[in-house]
Amino acid sequence: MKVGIAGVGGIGSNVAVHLVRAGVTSFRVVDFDRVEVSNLNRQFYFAHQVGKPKVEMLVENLRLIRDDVVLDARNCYLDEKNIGETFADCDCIVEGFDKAEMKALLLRTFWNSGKYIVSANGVAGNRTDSIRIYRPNERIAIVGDFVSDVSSHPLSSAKVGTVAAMMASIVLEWLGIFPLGE
Amino acid sequence: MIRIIVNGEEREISSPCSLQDFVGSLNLSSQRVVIEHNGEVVPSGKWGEKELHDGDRLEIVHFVGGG
Repeated sequence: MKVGIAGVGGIGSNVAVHLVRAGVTSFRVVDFDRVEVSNLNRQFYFAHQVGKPKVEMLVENLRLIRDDVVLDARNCYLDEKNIGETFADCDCIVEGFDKAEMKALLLRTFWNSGKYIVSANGVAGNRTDSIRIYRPNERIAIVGDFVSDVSSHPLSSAKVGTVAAMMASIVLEWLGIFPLGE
Repeated sequence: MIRIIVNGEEREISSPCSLQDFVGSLNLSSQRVVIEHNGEVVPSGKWGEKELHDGDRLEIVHFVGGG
């Protein structure tokens, strides 16, 4: 199964780390952003990488974990015109966007596609008590507290990382690396 | 009145009621919402055409920012 990651910020970069550690080695990663100092409190990048494109730096960092990781890294902006074709050959998509509108666009685009989709919704703040997994069907899982918006809460590595780890565990279940019940 | 299932919970609503009417009553931004009606995702441009019927199932996801 090919895994696509849409947005490699706090969610996307940390989900990727867990997947690589579990043995997933083939990805398509898409983001238009560059590493900023403000990202270093939660995203899987390092101080010397500030100013560089995130997708390229993620390749570098994941290869330090496993040098056989194969990433199709695309430094581009996703919108309603190109998102469908960008992930057309992926069986599983990890939604790691920052903007709510983009999250909704990705879910709307792929809801009935038959692909496995895991998405983050409500990752701001630090409290992890109310994080839950909502599964509208057997191929879609949405993780978060569903209410904490980044406009009203700061971002904590502990909470973003918790959501990312939960998302990764769902993907590992779908991939059969850790089948349900094990 | 008709009964519909919204995110697994039964709701009573007055009929006739379109998806547009129902979503409008929830005060959600259409750009941030994904709606599945009886298993099919419905783009916001078509909410007005979808009449809700007794026993219909809706899944409504409202997204907030942060990732």
